[in-house]
Amino acid sequence: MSTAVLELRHLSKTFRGRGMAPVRAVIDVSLEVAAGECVALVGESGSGKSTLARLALRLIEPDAGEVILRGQSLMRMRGGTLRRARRGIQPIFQDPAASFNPRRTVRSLLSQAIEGAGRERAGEAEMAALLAAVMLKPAAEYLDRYPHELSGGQRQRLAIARALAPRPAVIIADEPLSGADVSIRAQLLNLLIDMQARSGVGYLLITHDMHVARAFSHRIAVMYRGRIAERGPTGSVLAAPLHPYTRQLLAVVHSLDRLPRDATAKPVRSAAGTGCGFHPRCPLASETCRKLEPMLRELGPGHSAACHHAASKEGGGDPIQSQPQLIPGINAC
Amino acid sequence: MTGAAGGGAILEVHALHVTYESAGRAVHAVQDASLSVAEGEAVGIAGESGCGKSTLARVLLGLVPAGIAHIRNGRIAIGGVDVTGFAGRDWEQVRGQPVAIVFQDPLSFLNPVMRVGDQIGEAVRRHDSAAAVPARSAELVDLVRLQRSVLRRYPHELSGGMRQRVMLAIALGCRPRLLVADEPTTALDATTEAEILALLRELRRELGMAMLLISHDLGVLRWNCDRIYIMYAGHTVESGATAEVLSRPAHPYTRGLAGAARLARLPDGHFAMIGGDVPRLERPARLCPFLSRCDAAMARCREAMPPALPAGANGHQARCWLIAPAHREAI
Repeated sequence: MSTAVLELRHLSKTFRGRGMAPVRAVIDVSLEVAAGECVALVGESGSGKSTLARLALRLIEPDAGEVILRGQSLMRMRGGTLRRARRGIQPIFQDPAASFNPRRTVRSLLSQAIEGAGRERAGEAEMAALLAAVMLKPAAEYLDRYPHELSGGQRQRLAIARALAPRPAVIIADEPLSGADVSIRAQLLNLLIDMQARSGVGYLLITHDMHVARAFSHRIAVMYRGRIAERGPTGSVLAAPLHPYTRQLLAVVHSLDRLPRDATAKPVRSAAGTGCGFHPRCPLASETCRKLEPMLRELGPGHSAACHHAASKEGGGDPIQSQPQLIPGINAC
Repeated sequence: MTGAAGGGAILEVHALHVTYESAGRAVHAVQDASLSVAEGEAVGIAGESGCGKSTLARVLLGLVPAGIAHIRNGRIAIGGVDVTGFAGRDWEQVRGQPVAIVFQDPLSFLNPVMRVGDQIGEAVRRHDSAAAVPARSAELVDLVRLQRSVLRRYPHELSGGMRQRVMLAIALGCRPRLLVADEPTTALDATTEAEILALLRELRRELGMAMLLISHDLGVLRWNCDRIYIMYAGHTVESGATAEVLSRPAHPYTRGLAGAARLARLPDGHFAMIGGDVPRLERPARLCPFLSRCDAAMARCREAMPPALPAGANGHQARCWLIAPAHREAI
């Protein structure tokens, strides 16, 4: 793997509110994104994916850990230095309508994004090139429009253009495609592929859509209750998932070509007191799982899982692993 | 396009044309849609935003704004009763029983200041005696696999999946023979979605109820429907047994949609997509609505609208000149 442009090191965040139990949203999460790489962060709602994104963007402060962009820690930066550095990491959110100032035209939104990056006045040509890249052309037709005058798909394309305007090293996209029709989804993914080929930008793509994760990412990280349950190369995670939660996520995917497994085992939603956070829902849970928190261990090339029952891909002599698996892994979703 | 196998039809829609009209502007949301659902059958409607699938679902139960939405043409029959001309209280003959509906967003359907038990009770009272309410409410909550304590809770205290189950309990309170489910799992995450879909399958088995499942997600429809209709720009463009339509699509739009849903890669590394934009719906289409985006368009497509033509086994039909006998002979 080439050098990491974004490194998240041991990030933790607990939300505390009066009269409510503290919520440990992100617990000791480390993750890297290399130049030209796409890392998909998957997990169900409430798993801490979006909190991790907001920590990486430094929209919220972590309780512990570091965000390192192009080798420089953002944690010790303040004021103007932080603002400039942070332009190297750009967000795309799910709802583009909510992320644009409705009183600014496309021209104004783009020039703000370009000039904010500390460069000279944004030229008409540069804006037109950005719009053309996201298939909003001719530019003259779009520059003086307001966001509400664009269709949903056009707005999401504008959001991509704006994120690319400051020439970031990394884009963090939080569910950028959910709510989009499948034909628009393919169109936006093609756009992200082209942008990456041109600029080498890295993507951290947060998604609940396993189809997208499979088709688009180089590596997958699976989050469960604030922790990384499993991470590794996409092909390896999908073909041989190590964590029972990953297997469960893959089993419920409704794909055109593969029968989803029946969601018969009722998931227990109660919190695990001690031990592995997944044990109340896990078909493999044993006494060890109820007592001891599993560490993330590397079990194959670049492929790690936090599960007492996951065996090394080389070894295979683990007595627990040789028991019949209750949830068969599936090869693709 | 019909083709319901065996049994009577609980729902029949023929050549339906629905417009929304206001301030001198018209939108032809549904232009030529035909479908049927047999008793006990699960039928899917697939299509992208704006294709008319939700309008179709709502117009079946008179849930479109009166005075703005108009049925311009066609016919809707529910359990053999022609409801096309229904207005106002006429709809009470069919709403809930024999047809109930659940929507994508239970929060906008449920009353936020009323306990779940009272809302389920309200549905029960419309079709059963008041005395039956407590027992029947408990039965309904059991039926959707919720704990009975949920009856004392308010909607905001429940998770998305639980709210969807409450909405189902209310719908089932009327003992429908057909459940219309409009994107019932779209707002839920994959695990909860799988649970709700499994519940729907079990309920249909237990109650022998027919279902019309409307979704943008072909993967969901593939494993939950006996037959499927593909809608594009207000037209039902293809229909047939779900496995057949999705594995051997005859209409270029269905092929494009299935390719995009699979995120199929092209040789150049890009994902297959459908180029161009959906047509505007300000006037009804005279030619195939997919013409402007179709790679396979030919002279005949610019002359006349294709009728529903046989496309394969088990009543598989498509509205496309490519499968017309004359064209097949020519190649």
